[in-house]
Amino acid sequence: MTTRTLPVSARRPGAPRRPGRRGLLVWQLALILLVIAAILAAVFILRSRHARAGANAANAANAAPTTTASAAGTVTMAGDGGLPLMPVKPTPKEITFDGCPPVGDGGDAELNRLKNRVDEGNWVPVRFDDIAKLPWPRSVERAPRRRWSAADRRAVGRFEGIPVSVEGFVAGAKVEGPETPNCHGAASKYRDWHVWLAPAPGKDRRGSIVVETTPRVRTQHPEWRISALRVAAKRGERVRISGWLMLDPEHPDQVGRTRGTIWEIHPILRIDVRRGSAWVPLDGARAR
Amino acid sequence: MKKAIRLRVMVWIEGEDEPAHDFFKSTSAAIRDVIAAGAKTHPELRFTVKRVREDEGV
Repeated sequence: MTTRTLPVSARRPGAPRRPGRRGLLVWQLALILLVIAAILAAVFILRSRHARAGANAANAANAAPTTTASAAGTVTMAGDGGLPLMPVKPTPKEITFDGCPPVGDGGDAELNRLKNRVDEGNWVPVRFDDIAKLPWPRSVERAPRRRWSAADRRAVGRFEGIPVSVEGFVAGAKVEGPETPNCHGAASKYRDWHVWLAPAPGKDRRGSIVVETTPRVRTQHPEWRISALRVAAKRGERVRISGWLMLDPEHPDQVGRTRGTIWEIHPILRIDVRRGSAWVPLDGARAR
Repeated sequence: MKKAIRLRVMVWIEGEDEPAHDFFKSTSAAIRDVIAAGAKTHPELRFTVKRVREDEGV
């Protein structure tokens, strides 16, 4: 039996048309266009989502104020019920302490100036979680402020430098090592006190807020004793810490281990201990 | 057999310095000098200081 291939011109009427080289090319072209269209659609969807998120953030930042307070600059409560907003922050008061300038002797000079402020504020009471759950841009972690982007500065600056007062329990207190803000002073009077403020009595520091006293501020409180803080911790006494809200980007690795956030109250300007129904300043609250 | 090891050594350094002077800069230079000088007592070993960083605690 012999087979014979019919020439195209001789194809039987009704027989299926086999795609030629030109037809294949058209199909490939269509497929490529389809893929490009799908990619463009995906990009468009992602960009519009991103724009919506940005608009939401901007709306939140501009949320209508609900409460007003303070005289050290206008303080308004954020519309979402969180921390107060203070568009114009008080200018930090700085001093040179035993020859050590506010910028310290190295490291992040801008951060050191914030740590070394000594001014009192009109402390705004905030909830523990308002600070503990306050987010921060991940891109600032371990980065000195001179390298922060403008967007990161805006995000952090929205809350940094607000005078706050927060209640909690001391989970621990230690004298820090020599550091750049204190010009590496070796004596204990030149070192910070690193205090872990927890939401409940006990030694669990995982969700704590780090709050620090500085040598400069302690000169105004010569009767503060770290032992009094340890006594408050041991007794499970409630304390009230007042000071300046500040972001310390240097220890993000400790979050979830020995702290709950890199937001700190630093420096502390006032410490009160709850004794009965009254708040007693730590200055006069030595273990009794 | 040729061996190598990476050691982390914590060193505490004290000394007099002007308050505003960068103590890290001078002490990190000093520790490199100290290691270089001490390395001569062990010519069979080759010491390389890879990095000097301040331990800033918690």
